[in-house]
Order: sequence, then structure tokens, then C-alpha cells
Amino acid sequence: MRANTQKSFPYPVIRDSHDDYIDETFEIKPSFELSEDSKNAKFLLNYSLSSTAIRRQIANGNACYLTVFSCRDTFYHKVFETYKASDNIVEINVDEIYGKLQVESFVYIQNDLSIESKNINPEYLPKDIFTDSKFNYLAGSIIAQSKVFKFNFVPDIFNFSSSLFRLELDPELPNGEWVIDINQDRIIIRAASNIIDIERDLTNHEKGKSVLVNSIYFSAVMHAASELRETPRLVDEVHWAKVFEQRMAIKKASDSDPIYKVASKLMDWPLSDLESLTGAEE
Amino acid sequence: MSIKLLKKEVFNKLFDNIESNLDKYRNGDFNDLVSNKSYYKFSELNVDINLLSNIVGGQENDIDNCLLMFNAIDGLSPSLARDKRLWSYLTHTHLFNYTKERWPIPEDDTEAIASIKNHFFILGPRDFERNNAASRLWWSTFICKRVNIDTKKILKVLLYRPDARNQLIDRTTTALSTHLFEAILEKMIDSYEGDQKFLTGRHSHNRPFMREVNTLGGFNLLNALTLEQSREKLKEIEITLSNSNQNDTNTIEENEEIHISDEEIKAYKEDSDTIIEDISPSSQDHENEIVSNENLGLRDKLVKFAQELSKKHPNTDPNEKVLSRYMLFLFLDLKPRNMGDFVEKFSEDDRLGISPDESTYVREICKIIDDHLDD
Repeated sequence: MRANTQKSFPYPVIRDSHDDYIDETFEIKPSFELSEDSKNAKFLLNYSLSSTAIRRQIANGNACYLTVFSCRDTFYHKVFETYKASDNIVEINVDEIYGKLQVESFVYIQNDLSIESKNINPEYLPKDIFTDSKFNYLAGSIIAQSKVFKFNFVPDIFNFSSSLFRLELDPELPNGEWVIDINQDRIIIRAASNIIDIERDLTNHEKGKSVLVNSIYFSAVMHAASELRETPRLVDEVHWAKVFEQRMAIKKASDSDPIYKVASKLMDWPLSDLESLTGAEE
Repeated sequence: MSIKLLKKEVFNKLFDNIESNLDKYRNGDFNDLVSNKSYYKFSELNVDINLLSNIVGGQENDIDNCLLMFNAIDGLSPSLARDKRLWSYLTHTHLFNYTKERWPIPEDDTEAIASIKNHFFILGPRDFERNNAASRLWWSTFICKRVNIDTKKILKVLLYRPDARNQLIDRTTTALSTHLFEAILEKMIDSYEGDQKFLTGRHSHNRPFMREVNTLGGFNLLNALTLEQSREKLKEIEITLSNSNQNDTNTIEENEEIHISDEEIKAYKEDSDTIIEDISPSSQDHENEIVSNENLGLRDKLVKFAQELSKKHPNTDPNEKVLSRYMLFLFLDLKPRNMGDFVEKFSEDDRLGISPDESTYVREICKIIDDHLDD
């Protein structure tokens, strides 16, 4: 199902863009970690649903939380269903994914049911003051839909595994700012919401990738390479440092090279990729 | 032998130099790619060269070739199969002759370059499954392996009519929702073994049905349907369409093409501003007839062009011809004078329905129309 903010359902659905249910929300922020050998992505799903009436139906087994993982490039498709709101873990073999992995979450009706809630927008109800604030749903319908999340699994975005990096939203950062955390197995880039939006837009644009590679990721590689030079024992502690060390050997990057050169070698001199942009303007 | 991928710079150089390598494509080979270490070895996977060498022939061998390709690279992950450097390595080396046999390189240089781009390289995401001579064999088989139906049986149906196949594969919801995908494949197999209308009736059966499936996906979580539920949904669509067809007897279509008579075009003209008053009778039945340009109406100019295209591309699926009867009708009605016009006036369905090999001629068709209207 494609999330379309313009779409009207023939029944009230909790979603960000509409007030079918007043002051009710359904949210999920999926996150993932790669296994030590980088072969599996372990997704953590915590669903947050404000409606007590719907939560009750989930507890009774009449509805469930449902997440669809799909990757158009590799025809990957996985449906995860649960009655549990938190601590749900889904493992995905990254060999089955290439490009964008889309994660869509819903509350899915499994048995025909009625929801009685004072928060159902009165526009959905007959204009009769004696009518109950109640709506009937058929099995197979959805009653809540969260934002769609997309994760990128493009192994050669900078010619060595992009899975080494993870971009995360940091809501406390002011627009335009971002920070790098190198103390985990992946290099974590925490960014303000506008940076996340920019990254998403550029990722969705064929030529935008080269801009990303030459901006945020190049800086991240420089920073990480510099940290590795300062603290060589990182190789024994974090996964990304092992990959860097291996890659530096392959690319003949030496400790005497200035850091900008090390980063360029690691990323195969990515500035040339910007050639494609000048073509775009013609 | 270990699986190999072209180095990025080698791949780019090959792509950028198609024109200067035309003679190599036509009369030579790219064996230097094998000898001069233009590739990376991927030692975790092996390619069975013997199986690859059995990949030969044309369209009639597609099914066997699909299975050979899939078995030749046993264990290839979808992620690695998305690397265009792998497939371009194969089309320029072990499958070089096969690629040329399957899609002969046109004599005209511009057409040759377009054909090489389509079948030796990968330009867009859908080309993995549709156009690259090597990858389409692997991906077609991979797609079939996702469901519990005999792979050869599905391949036979999927490769029977490219348009019906594209309607299934190119629609994200149907392609990804495994159970729905399987239910539609079952319907395609039934059709293949029966009256074949669902596969061959592009506008009377297949597209209306697939559009309904799309609509159904607007408000239903098709991804979550079981196989049995998917079958039921498809039956509901069949019933809906069958009821609406009974009320609409205007669609005349038999098998591969829409038959539009001159009378129908004339009648259509009366409702629109189409300038086809002075068209001469269709020359489609007189292939060898030589008619002077001065006397040709727009329709006959286009029909003549369609005949030239048929000679150049004899293997294009009739439903995917850029000047099939249906498309001819649209070109005459909408009269796009340039590509902008074409994109604006033609529906996405119709634009995407044109075979990639023939879509390059849209510009020429627009020019024919433009010149005609200027005269």
C-alpha cells in the first residue's frame, strides 16, 4: 500500500496527515543494527499507539501491529505481525536487499470489529446527536498507518560498504548541524531533521548520491580516519576501524599521507563523481 | 571460475566509448577485458562456464537460457545481482556472441548504439529484468523461484507476452506482494493453457484487470493477504469486470492487436479535430507498394514508417510496437509534434507499453507529424 497523504479512506484511519481520529497517534521509529559479520540487519520495532480502544482490540486478537519490509530492487518482501507493542526484533539478511528498504507499519484488522471512541472525527459519523461515536471495520482493513521509513543498502555508495555508516535523527540538534560518533561498530552520524530530509532527497535522486558522498560522508570518513590514526587500538574495538584498516592496505594509504588524501583514497577519489552534476545542468 | 565484476573505471570507459567501439561490437570481441585484469574477482561465488557456453539462440531459447543462467551462478545473492558491472562483464565476454545473436546489432550506427546500451549495459533499474541480455535471464528465473509453482511453467507464461509480464512485474504492489503475485501468475497460467485472452488482450483484458488490482491496493493491505485471500480478491475483480464488460460492448479486440477500421477512425475524427479527411486507404496490406510522399496522408506516412520499423525490429511484441494499430490511432488523434507533447498527451501506461527498442523512434514519429502539419 502506498502512503499517500491525499488519499481518503472510506473509514477513519489514524495517520499523521489526517484528523480522522482527533488527537490520536500511531508512531514507530524503526532502527537497525548490523550483525558483527555485517550479514544481517536486526530491526527493532517499538509501536506507539495512543488509542486505548484500538489497543484493547489488539490485546483481544482482533487486530495486530503489522510491518511490511520491501525492497523493489530485489523483490524482497517480508510481513511481520505482532500483538506486542515493544521489543519486536526482525532480522533481515542484507544479501537480499539492494537500494532502498522500505518499512511501512500499520494496525491491521484481523476480525470484523467495531471501534467506539469519542475521538472519531464527527465528520465520519451520521449527523445525529444520539448516534454512538462508533465505526465498523472489516477484516483486512487498516485502522492506523505510520510514516514510511526508507533505509539505504547500497554497498558501493562510496565504494566500501555504506553499511558502515548510519544516519540518525537527533531532534535536539538545531537545523543544519550534525555530529559524528565513532565509538560504535558503525560510524553514527546524528543530524538535525533538515539534514535528514536533505539526505533522503539526495538519496532518492540519482545524481544526489555524489553530493552526499562528497559532503557529509567524506567529512565522516576524514574524521574517522583521523581518529583511527590517533587511536590505533580502535581496530580491536570497533568494526568500522577493522574495515578502514583493511581498505587502507588495499588502497595503499599510508600513515604519512595527509588525512584528506587517506579519505580520498578510501573513497576512490569521489570528487570526480561530481562530473555527473555538470551534465545535469546542460 | 570465480565470478567477476568489471572495475568501475573500465565499466565507465566501455559505456562512454560505445560509438568508437562499434566495429568491435560488430566484427571483433572484448577478449582484452578477460586478459588485462579489468575486473575484480569475487572469490566466494563460482560461475559454471560450461553452462554459460550453452546459452545460445534467440527468443525461442529464452526459457532454457534462463534456467542455464540461474544454474550457472548458483547462490548469487539478489544484492550482488544488482551490480551492473557483473552483467556487463558477461555480455562483453562469455555471453558476447549470445547477446549479438539474441539482439543483432542494427546497421545504422545510432540504432546500434541504442541497442548496445539496452542489451549490453543496464541503464535503469528495470533493465535488470527486461533488457540486459544476461541479467534478464537470471532475474526472470529469480522472480519465478519466489513462488511455489514449477519455474519452467511460469517462465513459459512470463516470457510469452512482454506486455502482460511488464504489467505484473513493473507494478510494485503486485510484484512485491508474494501471495498476490502468485495468484496472478496462476491466472496467467490458466489463461495460457486456455483462451489466452488475459495474456494477449492488452486493452480488453489484461490492463483493465491490472488497473483494478492497483485500485484494490489503494485501500487494502495487499501485502498481508494470504494466497487464498489473494485468489478471492482476483475473483472479485473478474466478476466486477465481467459485469462492466456486459454493459460496454464498444471494445473490439482480438488477440494481439486492436483492430481499428478506417470507418472507426473517421467516426472518431468527427468527434475530434483529427485531420484525417484525406487519408488514402491503408497501405498496411501492400507492403511493397511505393507511394510518393506528396500523396501520402499523415496516416499513410506513419503506416509506411511502421512498415520500416517492422523490418528493422521483426521480433518486437505486437503489443509493444511503437506504431501498433492502437498507437497509430493515438498518434493520429493526439498528434504530438515533439517529445514534450508526447509526454503530455499520452498516458503513462501507453508510453511505458512501448518496447525499449522502439521507444527511440517516438522522436522521429513526432517529427513526421510536425512536418506534415507544417505542410
